[in-house]
Amino acid sequence: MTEARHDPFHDIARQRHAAELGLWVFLASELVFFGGLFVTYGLYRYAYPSAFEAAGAETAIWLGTINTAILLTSSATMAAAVWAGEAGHKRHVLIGLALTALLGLTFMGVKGVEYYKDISESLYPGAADFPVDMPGAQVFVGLYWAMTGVHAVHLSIGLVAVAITLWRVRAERFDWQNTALLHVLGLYWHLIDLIWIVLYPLLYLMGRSL
Amino acid sequence: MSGRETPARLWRRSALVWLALSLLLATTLGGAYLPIGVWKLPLALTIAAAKAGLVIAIFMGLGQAGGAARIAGLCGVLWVLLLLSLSMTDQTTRQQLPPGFGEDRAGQP
Amino acid sequence: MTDIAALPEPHPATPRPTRSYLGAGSDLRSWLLTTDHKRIAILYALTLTLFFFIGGAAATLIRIELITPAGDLVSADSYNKLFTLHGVIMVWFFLVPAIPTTFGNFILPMAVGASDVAFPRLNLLSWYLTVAGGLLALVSLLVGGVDTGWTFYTPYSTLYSNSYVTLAAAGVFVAGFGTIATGVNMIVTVHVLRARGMRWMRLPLFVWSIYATSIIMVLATPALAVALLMIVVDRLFGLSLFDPDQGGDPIIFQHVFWFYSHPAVYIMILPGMGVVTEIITCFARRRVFGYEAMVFAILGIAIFSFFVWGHHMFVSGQSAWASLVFSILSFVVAVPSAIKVFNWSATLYGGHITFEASMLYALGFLGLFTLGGLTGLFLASIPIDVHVHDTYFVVAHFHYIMVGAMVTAFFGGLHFWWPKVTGRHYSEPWARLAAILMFVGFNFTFFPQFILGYLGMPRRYHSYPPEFQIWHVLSSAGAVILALAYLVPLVYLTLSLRYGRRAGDNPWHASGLEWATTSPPPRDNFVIPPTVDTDPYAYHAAHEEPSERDESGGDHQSSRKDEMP
Repeated sequence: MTEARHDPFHDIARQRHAAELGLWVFLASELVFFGGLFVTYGLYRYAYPSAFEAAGAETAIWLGTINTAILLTSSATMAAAVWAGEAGHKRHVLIGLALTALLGLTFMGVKGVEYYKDISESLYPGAADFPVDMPGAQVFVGLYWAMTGVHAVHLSIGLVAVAITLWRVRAERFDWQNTALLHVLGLYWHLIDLIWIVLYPLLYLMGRSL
Repeated sequence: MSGRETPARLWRRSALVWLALSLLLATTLGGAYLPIGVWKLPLALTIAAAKAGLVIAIFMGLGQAGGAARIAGLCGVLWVLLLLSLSMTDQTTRQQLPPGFGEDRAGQP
Repeated sequence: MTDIAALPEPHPATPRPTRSYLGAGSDLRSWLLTTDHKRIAILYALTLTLFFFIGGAAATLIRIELITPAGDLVSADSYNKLFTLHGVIMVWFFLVPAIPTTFGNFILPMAVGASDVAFPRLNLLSWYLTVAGGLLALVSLLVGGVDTGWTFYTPYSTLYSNSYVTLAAAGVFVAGFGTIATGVNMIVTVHVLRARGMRWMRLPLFVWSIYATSIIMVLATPALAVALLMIVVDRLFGLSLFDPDQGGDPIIFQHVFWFYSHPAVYIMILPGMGVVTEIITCFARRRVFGYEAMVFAILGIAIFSFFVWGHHMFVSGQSAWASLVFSILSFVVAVPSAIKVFNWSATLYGGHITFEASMLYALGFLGLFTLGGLTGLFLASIPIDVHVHDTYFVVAHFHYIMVGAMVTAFFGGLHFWWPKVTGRHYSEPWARLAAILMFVGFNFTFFPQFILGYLGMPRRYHSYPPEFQIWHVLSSAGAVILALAYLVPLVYLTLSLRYGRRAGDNPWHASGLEWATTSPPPRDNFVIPPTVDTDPYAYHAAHEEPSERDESGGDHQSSRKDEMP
């Protein structure tokens, strides 16, 4: 295991503080990134409320809900891994990270099934038999693809990071207890969860009725 | 965090938050089918905010984060709201003109 | 903000080598894999110089084309690609990164008393991202070019343009990550790595300005990223997000785009303001007038810059009410800028002013920024903007800010910190000549464009009615002077590396921690981590009149009594 502290820091506490602050600043940046998509959604929804409801009713609500549950669960396991890291329980760090990675993979699998279903139901802009014939409906679906796609890219990056961290903790490649790395990884993972928490009602819950 | 938290305790804490999140998920899913018209979106977003609040406060440990980190996170949210609110001034009044604005234009080709 | 107590006692003083950062190896590997913020700053400086001259070459071609009313040198299509190349390269691969990544990287850690930035490896990654983005953009421009203008407006960029929009947008997107990473790095460095005693209100205003710039970088750049992303997915996957046929609204793209691109103007100018503050205080030998007001003006500009983007959209179909709101807010952002101009002037008042090259640049900045800022107020007012929108008036206005102010400040900083970076003096007479040439050439180039614009010459046209020719010829003649003026420093600065006199640690007798170490600085900046017990700009006590510059420092500064007013 290498030394936890590295230049330009004089002490490990300050180094931890820097890593955490840096990631929070990055999270603010990420929020604005997704914010641009949310705002685009909001402005279009104001312009085409009924088309957004009609097109929103076409998304696969059950797959979306299952995926929401999966992602919420993965946040819980990630949080446990981070807390275990702070308390020094290596085995539980590994369990938490492994569960998180597994749940993340499951999410991607379900998402893939959903995308397949969407395409087979012509739920993409420019499809020959697009199910909703209203101005703005294709924009909704365009946003659905853009938002979930960008989210999936973030999740994939998160998955790779979790897998690498899992291996590095297992092999004791870094001081997982004293550095902020686990915490920072957790923050990023929770951000992915947060984005999905907002995407879920916007993309799946609109226009539903019994 | 307290010095040596037992594994059982930390898993229990995480499970409790997970339970709350799952209940909120069930609520919002049910709420989507309620016949409440325009209130659907506010309801769904309020529940989403509650879920996000739980994740931020407990999972991300905003309480333990430094002041600067908290300000940074807050800024991210505020800036999205700023973008939304100022561009909404355009979107909500796109078809309107201030008094006296239209007359000059009317005569022009 | 001060959530960190004073720095604890540093590690017991292990004797560090005092060898300069340049001595840490000279092979390619020692540069390309370095994590030293000073070396990364130099990597950036070389890269940005290259991009500056590529963008400048495009501008030269544009100005040559415009000498005659007929579009005879290049076709209309090539002309579109030329000004797009000029805009894309200059905005994202010179102006935005220019000062934060060079002087910000080199000076800021030293100015706060740190041995490096908070995340040195991320810093290097930023450079690679900038280079990768720049290469992508260059490739797109070489294989066929982009004809959308630097603004990538939809639906032209998504539905109609058959040029290499996706590649160019991807380049800007990648470079954007570099910018965000730099912003995060600078913010955390200022928060966490200040030396003992370096309280927030003791930070030099250059540090404050880079800090504020970094806030804008972090919060605005993602909006650009997502705007470009929407274009790219639209082009690649046909998501038709802005397709009017499907109910798409191109104005929504403009909202997201300008939510970045107006604050980006302040990403460009705020660091310049910081540089100029350092120079003016040093060569007027005065404590800066109204330090606190300056700090709040910097932060005010950073925050208010996000409230005004709609003034780019007065004639785009944005609602008239929104235009009203944005017009009023745009006037508000002028207040902190004006505070800064007044404070610089008040700092000069009664100062003991000498006219070194960097001071000439700083004084030029003051005048050009004021002119650019005031014409900005014209454009913030809706009736005038409707009249001159998309004319050369706008072109002249933003070139006064971006070239007149920002590039001038960049050259000012380059001359001010050159002895610190290289340990050498450049030729002062040549430097002054270049500064004066640049000022003259700049005004010659861009002042006629105010008149052209007011007369009705639209921007982005490669041919025009003959009655505009005289102004275009004037402008192009000025551009020749300006181009020459930019080449002069390339010569004498390069020569100074070999033949320049040794500069000593503090040739300007400037305050600031970066001057407290050797020139060029050692790898870790300071042999002993510094502590700070005075306010910045301690050129004399607050109640004292500024006095004759102390020449006893024994450096090469010759007495310049003949130039005293």
